[in-house]
Amino acid sequence: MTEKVLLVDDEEEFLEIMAERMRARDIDVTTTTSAQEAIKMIDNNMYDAVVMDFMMPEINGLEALKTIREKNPETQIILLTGYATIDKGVEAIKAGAYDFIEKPADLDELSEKIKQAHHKKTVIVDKRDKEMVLNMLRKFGF
Amino acid sequence: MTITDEQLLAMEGVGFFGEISASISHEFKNVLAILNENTGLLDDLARMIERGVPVPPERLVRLSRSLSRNIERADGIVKNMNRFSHSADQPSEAVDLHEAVAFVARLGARIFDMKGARFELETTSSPVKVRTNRFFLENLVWRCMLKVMDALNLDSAIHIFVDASEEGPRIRFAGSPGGEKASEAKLTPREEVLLQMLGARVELNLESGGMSVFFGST
Repeated sequence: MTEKVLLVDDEEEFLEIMAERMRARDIDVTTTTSAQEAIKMIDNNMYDAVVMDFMMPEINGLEALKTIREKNPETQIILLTGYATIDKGVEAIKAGAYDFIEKPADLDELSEKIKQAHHKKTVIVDKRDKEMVLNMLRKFGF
Repeated sequence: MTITDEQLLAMEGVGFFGEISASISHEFKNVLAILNENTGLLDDLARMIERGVPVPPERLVRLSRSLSRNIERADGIVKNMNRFSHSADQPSEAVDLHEAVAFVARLGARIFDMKGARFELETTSSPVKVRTNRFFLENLVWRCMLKVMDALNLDSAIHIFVDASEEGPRIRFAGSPGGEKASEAKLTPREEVLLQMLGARVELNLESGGMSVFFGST
């Protein structure tokens, strides 16, 4: 099953090439250079994963991460970080990121993380749907 | 423990060097990320050709141009880094103020962009030079730019003028008032020591949209 990904980075050239390579690997990818725009896109679209640069203009990756998690807790977020130490990545995971990957990123490694993020999202959605059905059944006395 | 002025100055200098180095390394990582994607794409295209899938020549031309452009960008970043590292070579030298401001604006461009700040350095009719320590002068310009960025309204450009005023060589910042921290803007102890070391003084009028730095000697 194809993973649906939103790729967010303010470097347009990076976005364009990485998206082309992701599409060649059957990933359904949409791009934006703005974290604010990404937050708006989350309202109208369901993504399996958001792959986002940690340092963005207007709003930093960590703030964007928290907003996306609030709006859509099922969507998994993978942060791209330019930091050479893992501190920021750990901070991101504590704030709810699924994972992080250091720039320059290895696309095979990133694709694997996207697959795992997709799997995690599917498990969460399935669980939520099952609970919803069970609650409805209980409500009607079954 | 009391901290002496010399220690404060050393802390300020190391802090400045760290901020600029961090920014440069992030910018460099971004270029490496693009180069990495380009070489990855080249590899993908080579595999396609091996499998007999036709690759349009225009795609390879575009890829080659992107590689050249980003190698040039990386070279520019390294040149700036090298020039910045050599700022501390001489204890004192004649420094062209306009050139120094332009250089700091280039060094900090990424950070200013991230904050949505736009600086416009106005041209000068003749060079305005000061004999000073280049590294700490750049440090002071950097602090001033951060200060005006916080205190002025970023919807419009912040103009920078360099001139030989009656009170000595001057760097003047002018923009629209109304930034988030306009009322809190004051000099920190580190900035006070920096000014003292350079024999400079600052006039803060950030609530009305301006700030000037005067240097004592030409």
